[in-house]
Amino acid sequence: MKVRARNIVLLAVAVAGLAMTLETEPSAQGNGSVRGRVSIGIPVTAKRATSTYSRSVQTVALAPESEIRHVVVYVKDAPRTAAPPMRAEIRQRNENFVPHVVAVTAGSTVDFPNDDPIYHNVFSLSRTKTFDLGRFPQGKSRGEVFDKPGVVKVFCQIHSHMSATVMVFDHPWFAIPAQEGTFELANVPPGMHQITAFHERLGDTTQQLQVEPGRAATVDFVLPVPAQP
Amino acid sequence: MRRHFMSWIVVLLTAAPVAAQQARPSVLSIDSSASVDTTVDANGNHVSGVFLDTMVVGDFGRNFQAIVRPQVNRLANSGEWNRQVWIAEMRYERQGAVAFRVEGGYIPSPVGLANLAYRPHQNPTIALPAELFTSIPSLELRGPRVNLMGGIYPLGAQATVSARHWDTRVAMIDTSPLRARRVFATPNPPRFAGNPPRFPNVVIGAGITPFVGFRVGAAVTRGGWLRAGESPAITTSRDATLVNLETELAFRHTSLAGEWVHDALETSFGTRSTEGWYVQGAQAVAPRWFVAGRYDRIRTTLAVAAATKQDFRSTEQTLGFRVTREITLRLSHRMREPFGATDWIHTGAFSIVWYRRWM
Repeated sequence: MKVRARNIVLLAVAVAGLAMTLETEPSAQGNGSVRGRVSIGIPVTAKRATSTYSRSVQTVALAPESEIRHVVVYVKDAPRTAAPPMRAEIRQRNENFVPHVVAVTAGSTVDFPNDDPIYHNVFSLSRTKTFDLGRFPQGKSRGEVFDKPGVVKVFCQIHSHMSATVMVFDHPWFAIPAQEGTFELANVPPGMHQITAFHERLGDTTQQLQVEPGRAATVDFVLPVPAQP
Repeated sequence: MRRHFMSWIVVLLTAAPVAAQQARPSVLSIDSSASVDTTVDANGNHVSGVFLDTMVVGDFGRNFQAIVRPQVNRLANSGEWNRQVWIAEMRYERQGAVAFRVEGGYIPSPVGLANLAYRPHQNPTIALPAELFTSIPSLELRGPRVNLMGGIYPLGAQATVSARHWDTRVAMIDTSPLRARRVFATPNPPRFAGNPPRFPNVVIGAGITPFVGFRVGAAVTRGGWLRAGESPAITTSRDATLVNLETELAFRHTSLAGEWVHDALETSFGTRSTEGWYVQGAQAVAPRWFVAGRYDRIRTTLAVAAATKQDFRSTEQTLGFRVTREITLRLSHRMREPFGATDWIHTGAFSIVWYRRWM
């Protein structure tokens, strides 16, 4: 008798759990995903630090990041969809913004800690976001909320070679590829979509892709031109 | 199993190495700046000036660099077009906790703070500090007029050693900082090295940075400023000693700078001194808006009467608007009281400044 009662309770809990799952994630059940790999097909150069007018000799330069990490892959024609705000960080280290590119949802905060023993200034005059955090020394950090979708170019007024890009989205379907170039966009609504790989100097590269429910669609990018099928 | 093995081989062969996906620092670094400004006086007379320069830095590896900075400008008062090469040098840099640099050729001025803001986008106001371009009444009978400290790009060599909290340098230059020499100018002040034997100007300078954003520096320059035979009345070569103190303080949205210069010139009347200073400040009041100002003062003596002093004073207030990162508009009001004058002269000025880092 006790065993039957326990089984009934377990069954009820399982049914309730299944019902809750169906209720909270109905879209995820019918969505697909987009996977792929990004590679860069041409040599890319980075601006170097110069100190022609400085009374001090310049500091040690940082080894450049992989350019793959400067690519943002996203669904270009995605509908505006609420996504929770994030907290990201761009450090100022050895006269570089590290990472050089971040992608966040609208309403997110990006912190700019200074690791260098010199002043930096963080500012942007982009239409999407105009701000000036002023100068602040090593060990200090200032943050900025990015509330509108778009591309925000960030600079240091003191060091002309320093720049960063903050891409702000009003949907959750974007990703920065891993070091080896792989990426995945999860829970993408089914249908024909434009998938774009953005690189600030190589431009936008867009491919059409059919996303089917419950399946992973694959698209590869060789920037600055789409990968040939 | 064999299929998996082949797949791995294919992946390994086709995968781009991470290093190949890294940006390489560009061999060349190029930036340009330009400004167009118009100045109007109280009578409605106006003059316009144009300035354009480009800085090219070529990296030759092994810490060697070549730097060249050609410039073209149209002088506001005369309307004359002038082309120059202000830097043409080779440089070796060794980075580290105690970093080292040695450079030779037409080098950036090893003396002076104002000389470091000698590009339009680095200057917070429209006019440059007066010490760079205001001629001092002649201190030598039938001798040339000098500046308190000219904007110089001398032929010479400089060694710099710096660390986190200090920097020091020594330079030997063929040009007196009191008399700007130009590569393509005619006539030109003489070189103060070579034949007949005359020591070049020697500069020794140092600075300390107690904390980030605050630097205090000083430099002493000693060398020839006048050469025998420059004019029939000048029969003896003369030396000058120039001492300058400089300081910079920056925090948040504020930057302040100041410099004091003292010149002691040997003349046929004995040693004549002149000195001057300026302070300037800039304050960002919004991401696109800033205000800036400068006060200059130069005090000199008469060649024949050392006790008689003459003053030059000027002040400028500037409102700036950054249209884009590359374009800045500036509007300013300037007052100056030239040597020997008792009234202030008011002028208004407007300028467009463009700066672009190409690569």
